[in-house]
Amino acid sequence: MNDKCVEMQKAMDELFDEKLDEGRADELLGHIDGCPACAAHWELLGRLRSATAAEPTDAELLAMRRGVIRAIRTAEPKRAGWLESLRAAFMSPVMGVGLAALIVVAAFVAGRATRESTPVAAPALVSAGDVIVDEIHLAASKNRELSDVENSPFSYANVEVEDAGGGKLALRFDVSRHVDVVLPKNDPLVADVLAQSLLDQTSVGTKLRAISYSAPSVAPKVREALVRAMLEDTNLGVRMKAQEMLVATPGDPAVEEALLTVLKQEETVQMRLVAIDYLMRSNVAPQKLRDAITPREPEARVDAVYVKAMGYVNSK
Amino acid sequence: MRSDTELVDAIRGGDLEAFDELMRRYERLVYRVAVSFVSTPENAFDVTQTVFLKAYRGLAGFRSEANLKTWLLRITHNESVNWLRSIGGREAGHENIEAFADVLTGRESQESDFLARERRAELERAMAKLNERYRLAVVLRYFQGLDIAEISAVLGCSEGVTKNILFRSVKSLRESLAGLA
Repeated sequence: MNDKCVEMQKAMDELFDEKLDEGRADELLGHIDGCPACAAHWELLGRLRSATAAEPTDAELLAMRRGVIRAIRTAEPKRAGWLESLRAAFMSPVMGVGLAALIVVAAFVAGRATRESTPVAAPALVSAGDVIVDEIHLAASKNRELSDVENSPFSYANVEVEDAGGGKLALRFDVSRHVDVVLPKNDPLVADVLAQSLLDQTSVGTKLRAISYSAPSVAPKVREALVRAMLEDTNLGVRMKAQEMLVATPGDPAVEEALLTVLKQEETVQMRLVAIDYLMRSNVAPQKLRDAITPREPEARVDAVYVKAMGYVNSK
Repeated sequence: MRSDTELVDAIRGGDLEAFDELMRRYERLVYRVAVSFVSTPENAFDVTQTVFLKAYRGLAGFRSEANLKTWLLRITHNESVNWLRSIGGREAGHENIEAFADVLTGRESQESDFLARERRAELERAMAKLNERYRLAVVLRYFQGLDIAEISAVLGCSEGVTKNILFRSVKSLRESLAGLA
């Protein structure tokens, strides 16, 4: 191989990358045609570029990431928090990485796991419980709006919520398996479970219990679910309970807007009076209040809601 | 989508979700480079996990102006080499060529499976004869499609030196393949 061949072979990469001008490319290709050594070099470059490593599956990568996150949490107990307490809950045998995806999918199938009290060392790969809990917790962390919760890949059923003391809530619910976990009240998973419970159309009792633990200032998605329950729930008790919780947070613009809607569409005088009280305390713009009660004006001139509202409007 | 710098800042603040996002961004690249050194997917996942753990622990010392991808690839190379050394050469040099021939998929669709597999095994035998640095350059350039500047940053040398390394690597591969034929 002479100097010309060295020069040509060094330029081949640029030809592959289409970075050579036409004249130089012609020269190179002409040389390759007449030089067996350079032709072999050219052929090998093509062969190398066509050889690609097989792709790992999503399930394998998920298992890999979970293993890393868990190792980090194990090493940093302050950040581990809730997950460390959960690790003990799911001591099923170590699953193969390929099974991880099936486990996540299986999150929609019935099953139960209960919490044990003894912490255990992290296995090399993830267990079924780790995958599910990590996934639902991660999903809950990403669900910022109520619409995110509604579109979440996980749904919760048979939700039980209890005050666990120490500023924490105990949540018991079904995803694929029963989850028994104690979390801070401001944990995103708590917010997700409460928000879904508030939207549950099958059980008034579940909704009322969820409302009683919903502090609307904690998570916007819970507040949004409370607003929806107050405005749309078919059960009056649920609507009133949701309103009671919402008005506990004064000066919230989103709550003000919702209460103006209550004035426009709610039939119950008691809820409308509560709405006006809140709006007056919030010093709402008189025009907004006037607009909110205007559609009812012909029939409601003398009712308590109208009198109270107009008293406020006229005083401003 | 958050930039690498934003992710690093968030991770330093204890945001594990940001670290999850970072792993999603680079896991396939790290895995592919690792598997080209350590032969089997199982070994490559071990190395990939170690790479991200070391990256997490090393982020405190990571300079914000540095290139995260390059930094991760350096860790990947170091960990792959460490892994090979840790097993004392039992699988080093890709004695397990058959396994690696399955890892490299290739796109020789016109060939029979058997022939394609043979050709991949042959290529891997030749690759195994390259030194670690040359091998890394070939993997990054031809398997992963990185440009010369990125490879130079990973190798810690000038672009001219990188081009020479690639030239010598391919020449060495060609000679090895001729000897195998």
